[in-house]
Amino acid sequence: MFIFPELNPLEEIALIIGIILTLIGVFCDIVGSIGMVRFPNFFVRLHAATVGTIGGAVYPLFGITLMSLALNYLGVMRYFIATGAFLTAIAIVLTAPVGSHALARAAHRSKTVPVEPKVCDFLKEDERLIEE
Amino acid sequence: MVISKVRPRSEIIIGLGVALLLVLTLFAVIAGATGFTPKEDIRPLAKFYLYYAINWYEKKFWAASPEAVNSMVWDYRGYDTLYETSVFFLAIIGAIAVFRIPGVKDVFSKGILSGRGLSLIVKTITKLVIAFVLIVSIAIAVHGNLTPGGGFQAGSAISIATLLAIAAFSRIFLEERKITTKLMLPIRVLGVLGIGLLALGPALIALSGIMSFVIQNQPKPWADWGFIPGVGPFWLSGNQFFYNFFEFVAVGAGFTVIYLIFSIPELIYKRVLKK
Repeated sequence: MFIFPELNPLEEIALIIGIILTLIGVFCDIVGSIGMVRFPNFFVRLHAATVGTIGGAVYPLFGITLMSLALNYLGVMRYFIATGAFLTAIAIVLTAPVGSHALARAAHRSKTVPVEPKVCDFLKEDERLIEE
Repeated sequence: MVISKVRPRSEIIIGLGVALLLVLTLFAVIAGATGFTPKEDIRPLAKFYLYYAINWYEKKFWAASPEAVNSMVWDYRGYDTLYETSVFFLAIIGAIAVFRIPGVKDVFSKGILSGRGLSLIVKTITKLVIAFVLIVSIAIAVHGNLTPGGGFQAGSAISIATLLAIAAFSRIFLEERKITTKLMLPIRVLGVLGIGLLALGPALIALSGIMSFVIQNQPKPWADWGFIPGVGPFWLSGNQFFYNFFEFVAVGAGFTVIYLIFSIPELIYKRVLKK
């Protein structure tokens, strides 16, 4: 109605929100990749990678859900695209944090990577408390 | 915080290499390296498949399946798939034979292998994911004659549930739920038997005088006998639905057996061999 004359207001709002979500995803991907290069040790790099997977994949997928629902010239196929994107987003939300959590926990417990430039290491302190 | 200002030369070379690869790939794709780009009109090969896979007007040669790949695999190219299934069956028998050492039990009591598994977060999500995997793989198998997928794909998908359970919980988690090689071996034999009977069934009917041939699905001009393409709202594509289901059972149980055997620690084999 305002920018896209062939869409009704609801579809237009969904389209604009979808585009904004995709742009947030682009931002998160850039931030994550900068963090992967610049951060000093394994754990904070893993954190940066998670910014890339959650922010850079889940937000755009939700955006694609909204966008494909808005673009009515796609016909019936838009519901397939929307459902696929939505379910993929849910799957990534569930599994990606668990993956990075398991990686970080395994790396810390097996002491394969030094927690070197650090401010504090609460996990180690907890382990010491359990031992005592 | 120590962050090196100067990057090593290898990192620069890797970065430049990746950038060059991306640019080259882009140029190659623009120049048409992906080959045939889809056109508006139907290709001759697609016409062939549409004519022979599902053709409501000329049912003489059809396979009654809207999935072209499935109709090729289980109908037109059926012998190939049958032998593929038997090769897979024999390969797993080989794997079991290699790892079969008398004295190594498949089921461990809790004392020998005490596995606590991964953390609570991982366990909770893995339970959810295993449920998803089971549902999706059954859907792939049952829809194999309608949408992309099929028996082998569904079987390999459901075996991932076993793999996840071994990684996140432990082998004992599966043993408590009676998922052992002792259970899985008969199940996969049942699956392969089902495929064999479905394939040879029409030939047995031929003995009674009606013209039919091995792995026949739909009636052909020279063999008037065939499976029912669908029952009510359920489109079975003749016997292809059952082929997919039995292949799913056989492959799923086969991969599960492999994962269960591979998750026996080397320590136990060594302990038995030393005796």
